[in-house]
Amino acid sequence: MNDHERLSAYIDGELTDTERAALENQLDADPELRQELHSLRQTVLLLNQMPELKAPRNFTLTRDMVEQRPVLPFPLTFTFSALSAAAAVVLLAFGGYFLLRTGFTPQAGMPNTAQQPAPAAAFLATGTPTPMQTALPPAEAASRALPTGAADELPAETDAMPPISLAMPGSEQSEAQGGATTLNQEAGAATTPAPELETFSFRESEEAPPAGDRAEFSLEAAADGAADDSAATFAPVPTQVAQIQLEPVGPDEASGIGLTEPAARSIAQSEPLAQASTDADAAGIILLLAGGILLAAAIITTALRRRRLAL
Amino acid sequence: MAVNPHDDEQRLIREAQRGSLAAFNTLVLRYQDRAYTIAYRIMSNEADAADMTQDAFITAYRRLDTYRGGSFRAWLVRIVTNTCYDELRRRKRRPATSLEDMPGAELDDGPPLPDNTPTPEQITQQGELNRAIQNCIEALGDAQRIILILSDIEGLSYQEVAAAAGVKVGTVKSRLSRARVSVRDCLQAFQELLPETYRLNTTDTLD
Repeated sequence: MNDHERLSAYIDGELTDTERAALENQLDADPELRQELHSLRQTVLLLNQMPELKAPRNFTLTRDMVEQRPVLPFPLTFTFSALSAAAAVVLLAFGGYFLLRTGFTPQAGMPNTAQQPAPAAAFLATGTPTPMQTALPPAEAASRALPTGAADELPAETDAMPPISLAMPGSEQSEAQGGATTLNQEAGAATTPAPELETFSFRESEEAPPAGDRAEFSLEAAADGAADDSAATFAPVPTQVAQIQLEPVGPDEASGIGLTEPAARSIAQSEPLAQASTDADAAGIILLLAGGILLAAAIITTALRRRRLAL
Repeated sequence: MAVNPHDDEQRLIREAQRGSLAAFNTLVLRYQDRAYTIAYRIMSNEADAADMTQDAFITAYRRLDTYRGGSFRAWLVRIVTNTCYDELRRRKRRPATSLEDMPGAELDDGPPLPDNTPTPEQITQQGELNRAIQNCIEALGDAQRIILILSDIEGLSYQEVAAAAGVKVGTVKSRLSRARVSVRDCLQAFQELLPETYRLNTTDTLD
């Protein structure tokens, strides 16, 4: 403590007994310090006598002042509602887009879908013409995957994977099925539980007007695949066809189900894509759900806020 | 005797805490002069002082749940002080928002705003002295000024000042001593206003 601090504390009686005794001794011996104490004490007295002012008006509060600008909890603010609504719109738009562009349909109508959620989802989700369409029986693939409208909607997707475009238009589905059947027979009894295998990637077909060639191509591929032992690989576990064919070796096995080498490669490479489409489908649903929740939140908070402010 | 007003105050506080605006307004009327005075000493002008006083009472009402007994006055003083201090800091961060800081503002000042007690009979030596003191207080930095006001004008103890200003007692001591020295030096220029007994001059007494 410097002299001023000690003098200041002394004036306020805030020194300890020893400190005070020491300072008083010092004051006795030092007239300058005494004078310093005097001037500071006078200053404090001057400050002490400063009058209390009269308030220029009454500061009493009204309901308005305390209730109108209440600190609304953030969830009840307009900002929150607006942000929720905006986010809901975005989420709903994206979610809807994801599902619509892939021609999302309830899976209940599909045979085997219960056991093949992943491939089906993959198919539905991206609309990327991955070979995952194995999951569909030919007839259904034709009717379901090839609505003409859907075809129009999805030109870009089909461009995405040219090598796989060995599918056929719905009109030629019977032919394709015939090929598939052939494949089944050639591949042996083991494959029969999984007729879907052969319908592989028919969906692509709507994309490919000159489907006649491709149908043949597909049939050839089927024949190749039939020759390939690996076709049997899929038979025991038809429900997991997609994963199996994509994960292990790719080309060879894929060709077993009726694809030529490039197509098979592309299938193999499409595994991340397939995975992504599964994710994307789930994401689409999640986005819709989240959007719905946020929309509800926006509406509810708006209602609550109005009610709160109306009180 | 002092028990009744205190009990009455505690009753009003409890009622206000339960949402009674009428009870709180009774407290407002009781303390508004003091609150306004502190705000004026800190803000140095009437308009700001009034705004801060109003804001402080609104804040006080909303934070009544943070009052947990003890001196209601000290609790209120803390809110007023903090309200003013926050405003001063806000202005320092965004100085452009203050009209007074704009060039040419002085030219528009014209006749000075009516002082706190501008009635004719109060335009006396006492009034001028108080204005001089106020000027010297205004010359202090914010932190020192607030400590000085709480301690020497409001008469709060070191502990109360420390609590109100949110600093340690040791900080109160050192800031207060520096502020007092500054004000004393500043007041040397107003010797003629000082009552005989308050003369600060230090040289005469030296033998």
